[in-house]
Amino acid sequence: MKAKNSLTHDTFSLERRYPSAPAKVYRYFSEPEYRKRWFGATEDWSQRSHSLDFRVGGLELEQGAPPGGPLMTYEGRILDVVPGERIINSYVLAAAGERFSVSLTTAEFLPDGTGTLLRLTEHGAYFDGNPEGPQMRVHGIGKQLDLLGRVLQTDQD
Amino acid sequence: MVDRLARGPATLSELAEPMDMTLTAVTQHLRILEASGLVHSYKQGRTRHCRLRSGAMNQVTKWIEGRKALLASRLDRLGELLEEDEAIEKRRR
Repeated sequence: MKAKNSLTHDTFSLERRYPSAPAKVYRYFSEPEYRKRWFGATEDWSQRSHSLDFRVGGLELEQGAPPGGPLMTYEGRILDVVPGERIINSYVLAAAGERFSVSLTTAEFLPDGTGTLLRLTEHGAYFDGNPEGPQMRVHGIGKQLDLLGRVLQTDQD
Repeated sequence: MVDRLARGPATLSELAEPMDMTLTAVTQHLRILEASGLVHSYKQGRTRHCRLRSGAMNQVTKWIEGRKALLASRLDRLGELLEEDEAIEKRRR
């Protein structure tokens, strides 16, 4: 067992092909009313809120509590923007006020025929010894795991 | 595959089914996971059962996998929204 307060670094990439042009996918990332339709907590979460001040240096705040779980908060900052092409942001995640990870995310909107190839690359520093981690996993993504089959299938393509 | 097993034990065909992979490909993948000590499997009759080795994934690994799965599901939700959006625009044209 690792000592409490130990640290793990990880990098992963996710790719998706979407039928819409990069400009539209970019809009779904950058305009709050579009972004909150897919990015935020799902409807079964309580205490939901989301705000986004989309500009370099602007903040994004999101929170919500999964059923039976602690209040999760996402505090992000937009670091770099190339309109229609790229967004880089950083964020801190906390459960019940305790921080457990800091991440840097790059979203690239690449033309793919008439659609878009979205590439999301995330670097994270994950703090160990947080008892909410696995609990959050169970509560937060339980329902969404059903989607995972499709996710993995997409990843195979 | 590891994500599926994190939800609980599964048979080889249950693992193969959502992934659109042949049983041969899944078996090869399983061998790698077994060699790395992540997964344990055993045969009962004609069925091969697989499960994660306890302690193979620590809390942080589980957390990272969970985070990745959450992001992936959000991107899929975005994909569904975009498909609806495109369908509506097509009808308008």
